[in-house]
Amino acid sequence: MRRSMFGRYGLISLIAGLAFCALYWAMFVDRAYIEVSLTNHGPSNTYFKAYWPDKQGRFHGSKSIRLPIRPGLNKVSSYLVDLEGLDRIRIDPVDYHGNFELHSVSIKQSGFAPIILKPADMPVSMIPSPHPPVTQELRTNGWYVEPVDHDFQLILEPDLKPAGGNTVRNVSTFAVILLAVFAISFLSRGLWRNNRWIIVATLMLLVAVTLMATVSRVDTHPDEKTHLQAVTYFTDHFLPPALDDPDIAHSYSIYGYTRLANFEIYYQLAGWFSALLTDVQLPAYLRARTVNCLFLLGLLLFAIYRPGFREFLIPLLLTAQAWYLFSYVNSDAIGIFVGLLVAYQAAHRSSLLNTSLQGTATKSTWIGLVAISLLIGTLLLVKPNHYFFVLFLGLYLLIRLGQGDFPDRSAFWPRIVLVGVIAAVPYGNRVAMDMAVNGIDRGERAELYEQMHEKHAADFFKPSTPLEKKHPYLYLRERGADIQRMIDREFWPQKSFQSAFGDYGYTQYRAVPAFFSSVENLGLALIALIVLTVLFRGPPAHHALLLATVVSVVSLYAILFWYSWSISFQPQGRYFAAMLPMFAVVFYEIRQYVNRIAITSLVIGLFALSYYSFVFIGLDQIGKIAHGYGPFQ
Amino acid sequence: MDMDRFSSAIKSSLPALVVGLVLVTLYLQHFMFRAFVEIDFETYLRYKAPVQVFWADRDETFSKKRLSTHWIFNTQNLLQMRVGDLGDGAQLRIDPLQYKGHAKIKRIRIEQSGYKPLTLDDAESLTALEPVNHIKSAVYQDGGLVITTTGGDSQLLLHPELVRAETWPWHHLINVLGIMLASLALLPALSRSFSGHAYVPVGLTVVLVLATVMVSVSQRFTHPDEATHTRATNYYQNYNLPPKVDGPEIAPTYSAYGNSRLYGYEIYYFFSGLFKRLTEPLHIPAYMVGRLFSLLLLLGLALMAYRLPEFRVVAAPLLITPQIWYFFSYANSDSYSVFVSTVLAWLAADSDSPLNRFLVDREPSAKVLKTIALGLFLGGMLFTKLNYYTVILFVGSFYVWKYWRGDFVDRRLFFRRAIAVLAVGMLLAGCRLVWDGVNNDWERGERIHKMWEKHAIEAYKPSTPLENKHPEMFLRERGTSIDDMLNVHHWGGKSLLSAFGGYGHTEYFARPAYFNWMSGLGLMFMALAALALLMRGNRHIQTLFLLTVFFCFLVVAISFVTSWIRILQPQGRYLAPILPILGVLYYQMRPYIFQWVSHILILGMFSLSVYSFAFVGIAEIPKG
Repeated sequence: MRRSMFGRYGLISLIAGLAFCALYWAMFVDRAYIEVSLTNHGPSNTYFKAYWPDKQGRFHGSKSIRLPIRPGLNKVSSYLVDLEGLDRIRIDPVDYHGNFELHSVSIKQSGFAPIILKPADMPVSMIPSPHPPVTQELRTNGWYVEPVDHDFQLILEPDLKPAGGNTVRNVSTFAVILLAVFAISFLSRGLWRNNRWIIVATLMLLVAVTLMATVSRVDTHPDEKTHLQAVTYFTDHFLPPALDDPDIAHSYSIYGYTRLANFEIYYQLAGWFSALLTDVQLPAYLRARTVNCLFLLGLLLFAIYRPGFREFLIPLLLTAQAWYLFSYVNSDAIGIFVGLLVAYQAAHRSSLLNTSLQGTATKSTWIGLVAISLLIGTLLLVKPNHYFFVLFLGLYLLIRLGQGDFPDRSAFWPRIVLVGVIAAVPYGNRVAMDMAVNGIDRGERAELYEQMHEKHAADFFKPSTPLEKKHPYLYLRERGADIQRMIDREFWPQKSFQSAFGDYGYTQYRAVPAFFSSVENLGLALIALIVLTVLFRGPPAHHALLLATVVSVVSLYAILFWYSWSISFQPQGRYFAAMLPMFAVVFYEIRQYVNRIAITSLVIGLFALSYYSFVFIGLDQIGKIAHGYGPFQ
Repeated sequence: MDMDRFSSAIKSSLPALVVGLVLVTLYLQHFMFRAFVEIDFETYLRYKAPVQVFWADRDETFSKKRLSTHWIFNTQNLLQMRVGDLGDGAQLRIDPLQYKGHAKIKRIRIEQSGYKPLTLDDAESLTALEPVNHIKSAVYQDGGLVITTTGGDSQLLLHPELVRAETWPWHHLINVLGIMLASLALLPALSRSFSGHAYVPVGLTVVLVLATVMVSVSQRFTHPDEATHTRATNYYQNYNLPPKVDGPEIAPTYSAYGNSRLYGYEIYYFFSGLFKRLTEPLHIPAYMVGRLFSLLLLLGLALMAYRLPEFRVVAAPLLITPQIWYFFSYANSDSYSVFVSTVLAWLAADSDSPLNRFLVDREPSAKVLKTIALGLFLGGMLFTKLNYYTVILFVGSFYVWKYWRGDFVDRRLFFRRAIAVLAVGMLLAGCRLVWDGVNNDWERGERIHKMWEKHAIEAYKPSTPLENKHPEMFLRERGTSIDDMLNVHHWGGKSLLSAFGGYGHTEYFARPAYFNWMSGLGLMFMALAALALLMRGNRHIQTLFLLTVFFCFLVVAISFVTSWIRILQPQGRYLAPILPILGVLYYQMRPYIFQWVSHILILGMFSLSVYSFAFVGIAEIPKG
């Protein structure tokens, strides 16, 4: 035991412990922390900003913090930078033309006496820039200011006085961190065998997801009501509805569309399943939410029974946004569920699909092959963004063929054709169901749907409404917005990124910017690790795989961007979920030669951040069932 | 598939089939042959009050065995309940108010599988409710049946006429099939988790997530005494040593009772204060630091369970009640006491634990270091909450039992080692006592009394005459008998409820059915253990069983006596020391009991606990 404690494993623990200490020091100790209490007298939301100068003494956005504030009293706080040696910082209390009242400002940095500004100190300690305000007065509780222009700034010269006395605390903290890392790595050793840690992590997220599904209010999640209406239809119907059926009029959203018109299989499955739970006497939304939770449970069970599948769950651990999709009524989760299972079948060398295509499977696997073909076919009955995974699968198959993975061509071709034919069945079946109700003529159907669109859409969204009267977020390109505007003014990439890693409710609950920059750093490190590893260590086939992934990911990204630009502005990260199964295949392929410790550390880092975001932001802030009215009581 | 393979497949899936059939029976009994009743009920209340719904078959009398009680505390209430079979001329009796007043029944909905749903929501249907007792009038007005009661036990009778549905409820077939398939799919994973108690760390991981969510979503100071614990923690953020009992620096830590948590010897406050000091740069609110400290202790237990197979066995009782999990989800000192008591139970029970190896090992490595470390740990046990001293006493008796069983071949070595370790522990405890003495000029008791008088509110001051004191204080002195304690103050019932899932200031509980299931499974476990040990055990294990029973009673008795002679606190958390004691017994009796059954019972209680913690605790607790 001693050898192993202080052997390679001990060394890794020591390095990890030191890394944590350094991180702790840099992120929390060696930085100032600002707490501000202010009243925003303006009518709308704005930002509190603080800047610190770069080496040339200039202030700019990359060296600043930005905290959202609402009208009325606000208490905000954030870490700044190490203030030692800095002669000034700039504070923009309200980032627009408006009046405000500062009640208190405190700046604390470890090792220095705190700087606490009371209202009486403020006019002396903070110099207005570039112009003095129109009005300023000292009130009982604060310093009231009416600025001249919208870019009102205050310059504060922080006078840091060494206070000392923190050395013992800091050394003790490092000792405790090191001890904790050693203890955790010693106690958790069994978890690294057979990828058991992935099971534990998936179980953790399943519990958190189940809690989100049960404590959050109905329709507090994006479009849940619309999804639920579509699901409810299928609780007492087998076939899809006629598009002009008055019974489904309520399922048309203000955009003039109904989820019942598309071919997503989720609504039928969830509706039929909800019907089975009728006697449980839970509200309809809870019965429907059960379905997505069960998809996640299904993935966990499959991973317990098939150790080979565990690695395919890694992408799921990277972002809490994917977990969120399993916790309310929506049709995205099924895409991830089916995608990951298909990714396993496609990539894992001993999966039923691979052994069948290689001709090494036994006779009794035919039923399994049919089931897998149907599963693949289901990919066509999920949200269209998942079609990019189908594109990826096609490219991947070509690469596998190219590298000679299927030498027995006489086994491969008939079976792949069979898989293709059977995979077409679910889609064909769905089209047939629709034809039975809405007629064989597809053109007529499209025309009818267009009429319904016109009929049910709110004025803002009606096709007949002139462009200038349409919702301002429709047809941005046609309105003359260029790509630059999409990026710089509409913040499409930024909003998409944030809502891909932890936006809850109607994208109104999210962690502080530091969270997203941490996710960004770890994510970029993970991508860099994978790309560099494949380029330097991978065989040519993996270079091709990398290219195929880039092509699929970029195409998906581009089409989503184009959609937001040309049709409806929807910068929503959940549409990127189709990338998860692609990453699963990549993770699996490179597992032999990628640095396990590095990749596991980065994945666990992202998992920890996601867990924080889901539990301490998502679950904490989401609208919850009223206290005393739990549906399970 | 040939016959051999077929029969072996059947044999291997037999447990899954049995469990599946049990679940199917429960499903059918619950969902197919019982009706669901929903009553939209409006009243104006000043206090929490019960609404009772009885059901009985045709021509049968009503009894408390078929009763659903709902405590209501709002004006608008949606009462939902599952009652018996209402299909064949059954009767329903609603007792709306137990006092003189008004109430309005706006709607009654009855659903039973195989029948058309029945809704009473208009004048004609609602007046079918027949006033039986203590009802002055029942008139339909303003969208509901307005009832005026005359006081006493008001009753309304209903003969619901359920009409058979046209189609048979076919979905039950699919559900039954689904349950059987789910059993076949889940049970292999479950039975695999039985080996080596692998489900214990997994269960603790689930608990860790649940506790983290409780930490995150619950309002500040919404948990029992969280504010007092947090203030005591704050003291050690600034000081390293225990305070003077009358020091001004502890003034904020006094409760309404005139007591400060810092008077006790609990080292929890020192550690949590230290943790707070170390995490200062994180700028986390004080109550949250305390909560995170509790979570870290739980993480420690979970990780130990992953790493140490023997620890899992001792920690298994932690899975049987959500009340213990609740300790780990807010700032309080029980979390620490449970943590160290569980570790102590493992050190004592596992013959290969560091403590037991040290006691028998002739040439241990790092002997001095181990003596000090083990001594400090054991001495540290004296710095837990007072009721955990029973665990210490139990472990002491357990070693006497081990000695009697002949576990220590070299007795001299055992005594030498034990004395060395205990001496270090006593030295630590002695240091604390001496410090307290010197620091308080050897007048600690008197000063505490003075402070009590000074800081307590009137109802709790020692000088307040008994009749003016809080009515729940000194009950014995006021002439309350043991019988009254149980039947008037419901000490037993309340303690049981809050031992298996009472949240907030013991405000949020699951339905009675949950507690019935919980006690049912618990009693089955006890019966299983008693029977197995009686029939299969030797005299050693039987003695240990009796010893355990004695100490469990002792824990209960101490809690009872405190409630009786000092202040009524029927709180299940005072019974928590039973769990580490049970852990030691469970470890020792493993060879004698039917493991499979015990696993199923533990997991049954665990599942119920998850329900209570997630769907009652987290769902109901006030959130920020």
